[in-house]
Amino acid sequence: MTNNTMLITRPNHDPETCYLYRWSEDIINFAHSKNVDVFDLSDKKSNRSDFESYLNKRKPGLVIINGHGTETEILGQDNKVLIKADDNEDVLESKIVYSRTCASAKILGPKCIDSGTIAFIGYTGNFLFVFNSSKVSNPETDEIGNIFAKSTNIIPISLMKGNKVEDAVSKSVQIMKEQIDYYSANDTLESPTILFCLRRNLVHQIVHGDKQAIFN
Amino acid sequence: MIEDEKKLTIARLEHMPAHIKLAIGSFGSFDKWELMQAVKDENPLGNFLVNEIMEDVRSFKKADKNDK
Repeated sequence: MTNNTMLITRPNHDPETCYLYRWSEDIINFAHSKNVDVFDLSDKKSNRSDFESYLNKRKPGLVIINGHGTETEILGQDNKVLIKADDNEDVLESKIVYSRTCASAKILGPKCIDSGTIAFIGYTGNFLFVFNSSKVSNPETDEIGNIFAKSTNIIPISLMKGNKVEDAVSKSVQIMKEQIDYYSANDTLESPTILFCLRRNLVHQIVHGDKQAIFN
Repeated sequence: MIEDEKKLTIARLEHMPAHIKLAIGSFGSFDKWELMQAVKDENPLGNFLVNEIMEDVRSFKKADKNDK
């Protein structure tokens, strides 16, 4: 059981973060509908100082991180470091974390668990997605990009519904498998690239820590 | 980089439609021509792509074999 507050980071400085930024609006709207208090660190607020300050003072039970990442770091606005292994991973103590970033579940995730994070959901390799290059200014209208929003947004949404960490991740896996089945059977021009990304994300998505944990 | 793997990766990328881009984390977002060029240049992005596509092919083959 953790407190009923969510913190979300969503930098917005390139096409990739622009998509994650827009996808996150559905997570925030869902949180409001569930009366979850939301601290939205968007754009320039997605910096280490504000991030650490909100975590220390507001003590959110759920932390959703969007942006770029490496095996040892999670990055914020303009790719400045938010969390770095062996530096400040302890700020995620007692949190359930979903890191929609590349590779951070490889080294940083386990280190967070060692420092007291309850559960860390993320990717051990690059998080891949496909988008329509003519829709960058309106990602919400991009049906191709939205495939990846659907299979990832379900994780925080499921957690806010009161599901266990393992169940939230299972729902994401189930959606990815259904999408793989759909695009395998419906051979569109985009299908091979979409399938490649879905299959790689499926391989790289992982949970560290307490899979039985529940948010709020 | 094995030449056959490079050729297979480029062959796959050639089928990617022109209106979509592939977002690959901190590498950025790329259309088919940029991706194919990266593979030809054997730069870090190209090497990453060859590795991931070959892993995907291998896991797909393995799954197919297990189904039979």
